[in-house]
Amino acid sequence: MEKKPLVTVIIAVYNCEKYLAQAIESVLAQTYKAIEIIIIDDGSTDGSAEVAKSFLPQIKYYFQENSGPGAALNQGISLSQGKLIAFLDSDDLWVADKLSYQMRAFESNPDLEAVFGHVRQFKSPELDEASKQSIQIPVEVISGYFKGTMLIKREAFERVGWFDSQIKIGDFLDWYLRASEQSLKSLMLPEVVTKRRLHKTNMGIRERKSYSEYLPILKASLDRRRSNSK
Amino acid sequence: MSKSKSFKVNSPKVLSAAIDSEVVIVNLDSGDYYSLLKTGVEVWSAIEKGMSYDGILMNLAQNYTGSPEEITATVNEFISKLEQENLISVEEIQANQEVNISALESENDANKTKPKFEPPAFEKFTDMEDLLLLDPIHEVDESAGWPNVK
Repeated sequence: MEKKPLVTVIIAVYNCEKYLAQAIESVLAQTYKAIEIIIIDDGSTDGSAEVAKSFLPQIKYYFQENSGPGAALNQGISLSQGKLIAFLDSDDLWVADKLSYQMRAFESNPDLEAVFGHVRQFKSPELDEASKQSIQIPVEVISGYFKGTMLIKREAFERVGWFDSQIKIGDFLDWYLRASEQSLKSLMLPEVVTKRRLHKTNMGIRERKSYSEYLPILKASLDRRRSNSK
Repeated sequence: MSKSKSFKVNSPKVLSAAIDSEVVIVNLDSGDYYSLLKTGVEVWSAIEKGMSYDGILMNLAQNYTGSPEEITATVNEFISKLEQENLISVEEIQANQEVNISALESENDANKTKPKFEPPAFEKFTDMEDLLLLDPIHEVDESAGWPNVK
């Protein structure tokens, strides 16, 4: 029987002891079995390390000084052996068929470089009513243009380039803009592949001030597009 | 006293930054983003400062050479685009004085070193809608302080 290509799953974690185990379990439960799981602990000071290590030897665990999400993901990629790379945030979950759906898409269209999927957003069950009500989810299921749904061929990722480790918020926006500028051949599957948890800690990302960090990222992309079209 | 108008940026859903002679704007409600160039940068900055419509026209007439009709027409068109895209709202105000842009223009004729008026440049981008809309907005006041992002 032909050997299935190895998929490296990178989970960067920073102080997420509460949800990390569920994230890892959702990867171990994949119906596609040829996977390598790399956990990059970005300097957690809570019990994340113990949670991660409890899954040894099914995972590979690496600790680094806190350097931000982009640097942590890049570290994971540099250690990875897979022909394909996927990412999961330490507080999110994959559906069991996530990688199977996506590998099937690659098989039927070998020219594809990356496959995304839909995401279902959910309010973390332990939130109190007030917090739950403060989060608006305009649509529960939405096309998931974010790291947590993407499965990408290694050579395509390298073609676009690594994450910018200087960017703390919007690292994927920056990466995806570069990918679009370079005409990444991607597909959005209609299936839900990732469940995205909305909770108190990650809502910090949605503070208004943080959104303003998107502006220089967009500006840099506009500049690149103009200089490329010259 | 006559009626005039001023404008208000639709924050917090609309965010903007002036970077290297360009204004980049994001509308978090639509996921669209925009680029303003040339006199669009000045008009946007004037809107942010709460300058009245008359004041905006007066400033442009003072700083540039160009026909008052052209300045008025292109600024009107620019402002209605900003309004259509829900980036700004219009507010009626009382004007303190009548502004005669043509009179300003003739004063300007004395000074030929001013740059030629270039219409505000406005461009809209929809290619990141799906990505930018992915983040749900929460209504918590900034001062309430969710934990900071890691």
